[in-house]
Amino acid sequence: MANYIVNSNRLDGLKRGDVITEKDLEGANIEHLLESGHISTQQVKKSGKTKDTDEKE
Amino acid sequence: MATTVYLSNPALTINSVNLTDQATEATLTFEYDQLETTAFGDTARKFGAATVTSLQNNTFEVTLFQSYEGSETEATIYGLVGITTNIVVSPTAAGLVTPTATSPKYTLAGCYLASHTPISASLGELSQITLVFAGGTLTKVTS
Repeated sequence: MANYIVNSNRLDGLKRGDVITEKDLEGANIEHLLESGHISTQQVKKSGKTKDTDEKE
Repeated sequence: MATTVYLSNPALTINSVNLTDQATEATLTFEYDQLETTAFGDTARKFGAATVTSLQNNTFEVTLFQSYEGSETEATIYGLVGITTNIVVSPTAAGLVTPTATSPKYTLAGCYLASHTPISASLGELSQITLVFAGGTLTKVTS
């Protein structure tokens, strides 16, 4: 299920910065909320560091 | 004599976006089509029956101040033209969150916005737009 970040203070019961799912927007036209800037999709940040999982001999 | 006095101050959301502070007028009309059931032998015209047999024919009309800022009126409304959306309205702001018998919450689900006037300007006046959402199923919640 996609996560969204709230970008405005106009979404009822939510505030800017909240991370929500489709369940929190039940009945709303999510595509339009994205287009109008009220929410945006949450980007998953990839860590710049790599971890060596190979066992050292 | 009136036992309560209600100063108009409803709260509303359009597609889950709270535009209460931009609204100056709101009218929700709950209606069923009036189907005639008069038959031979009747002495007066009759409509409907003891139970609902016709379709809801609801409308929600709202007047909003126009604003072209981000997350405001124009951004919220423009993309809704030609599609269906949900309207939630209550006599009070608290009723949107926790509806009660004295502050019910009305949800008009699947109503259609046919038109919008992105430019509605008169010299020396604040720009306002009037929207009419038609159709949809109305439900009332009191708890």
